[in-house]
Amino acid sequence: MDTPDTFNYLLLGYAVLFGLPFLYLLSWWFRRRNLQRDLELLQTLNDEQKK
Amino acid sequence: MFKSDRVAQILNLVTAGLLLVATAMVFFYAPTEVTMGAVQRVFYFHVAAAWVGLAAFMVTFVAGLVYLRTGKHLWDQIGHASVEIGLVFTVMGAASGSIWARPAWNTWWTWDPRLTTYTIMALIYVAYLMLRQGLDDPDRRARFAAIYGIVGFISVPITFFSIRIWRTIHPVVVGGSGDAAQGTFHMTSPMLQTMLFSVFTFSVVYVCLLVNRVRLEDLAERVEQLKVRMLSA
Amino acid sequence: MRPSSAGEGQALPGQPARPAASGALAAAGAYWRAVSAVLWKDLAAEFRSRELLSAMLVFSLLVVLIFNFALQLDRVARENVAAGVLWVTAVFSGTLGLNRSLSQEKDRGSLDGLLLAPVDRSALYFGKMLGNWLFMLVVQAIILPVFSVLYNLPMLLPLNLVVVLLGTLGYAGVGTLLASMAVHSRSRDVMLPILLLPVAVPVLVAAVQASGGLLEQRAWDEISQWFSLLIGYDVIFIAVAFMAFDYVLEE
Repeated sequence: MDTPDTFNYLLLGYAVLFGLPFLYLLSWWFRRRNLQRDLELLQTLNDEQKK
Repeated sequence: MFKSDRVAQILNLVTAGLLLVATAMVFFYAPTEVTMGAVQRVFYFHVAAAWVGLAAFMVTFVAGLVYLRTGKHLWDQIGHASVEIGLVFTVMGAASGSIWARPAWNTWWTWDPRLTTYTIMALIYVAYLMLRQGLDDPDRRARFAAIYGIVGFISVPITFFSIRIWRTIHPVVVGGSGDAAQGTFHMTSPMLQTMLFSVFTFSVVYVCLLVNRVRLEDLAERVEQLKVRMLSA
Repeated sequence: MRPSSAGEGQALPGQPARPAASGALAAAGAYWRAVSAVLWKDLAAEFRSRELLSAMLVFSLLVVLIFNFALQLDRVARENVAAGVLWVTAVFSGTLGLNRSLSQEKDRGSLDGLLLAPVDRSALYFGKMLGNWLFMLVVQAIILPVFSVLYNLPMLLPLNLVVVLLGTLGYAGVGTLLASMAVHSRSRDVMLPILLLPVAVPVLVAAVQASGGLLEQRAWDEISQWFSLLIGYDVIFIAVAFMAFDYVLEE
């Protein structure tokens, strides 16, 4: 029996297997960035309030 | 373990290294399978992702029990983080399985017990996240999420058995091969080593993600507390 | 911080532990009185307003009719899908009833009053659960004959009634717990089905298969496993809900 050529499916499979966690990590990056911005803003506001 | 920067850094490095080795093993160490061809290499990470998906929900189950017993906030964070990560891996497992099934079974999807159970399980944990989102009081959110994490996880094996009675065509990898299973293949020892190493690697990846997710949650809570303090001041 | 776990039994708090069996018997009696008080309250309220039952009933009839059109049922198709239609009807109207039953409780604040009563909180669960189960059964008692006539099928077979009893029990058992959580969420009307349906899949599968097998007059060997599954599900989830309910109410 010949081995079928399924290389394209292999590529697709690993594109998904690496792509999905990549997107998930990207969402973390955005979340972290927004939080850090908020944190800085809050800290400056806090400092102004003290003055 | 969750709070130390150093532990997180080391864990990140180790995880990246293991992932590189595992990927290399999948593409260069494991031989090409004869009857299915190259696509069989999807199998290694597919199994690993599906395993981590299930294990992550099991962690949420245990974290829920411990949270209800002790009321310690960290266990609520772990439960929540684990569901999020588990869902990512469940979708990875399902999608890669589907891509493998197209050439192997000649269909993207079958109503096989394992596939169906996995889908229902994913829906349970989507519901878990929606429940959390719908609750404002943090204490109540933690309790309800813990309860739902427990109830949901208990239902998974029962769901599996209820659907099992419809015959499976999913290949049985460990143990005897099912007679109705298509796409079963004989595993040579490099294949087995690659699979076991992938499973191990993904387990470490899971722990690494969990630690980092809990740390992100800590940051979010710090910002939230600061906001509340600012508003009340 | 935590109250005694729900699993620790049915002794009333604040009541000195009396030795001998009479103490346990008295506690069991008190427990049952608490359960029946909650159940009775629900039944009395429903008897006055009838809003829950009438809504469930009309909704069920509508589902039965809609399915007839949606699936373009001819005689053969009707027989094949009858069990499925029956259980989808039961499940959807059950969700409706569960949601109303628990959100009324929250809106009127009557649960807070009940919380002050010196009874084990799991008695509240059993009271609510039995009420919801009873409502589902009443709806079924009316729907099943109608269904038998409309679909020309023997829905009232004694064994099918057992399936209905077991299936609705499991659904009400886990549904009461989840509804008591769903009513606290912001989008509470849509929350319950999202929480409940994926967890209730085994009940639905087993009940549809059991009812379908009975209607097709299959051998008992083929059907019995679905009965075991239903009983197993009922036992497991009522036990889990009983233990978890304490934590839902904790304020």
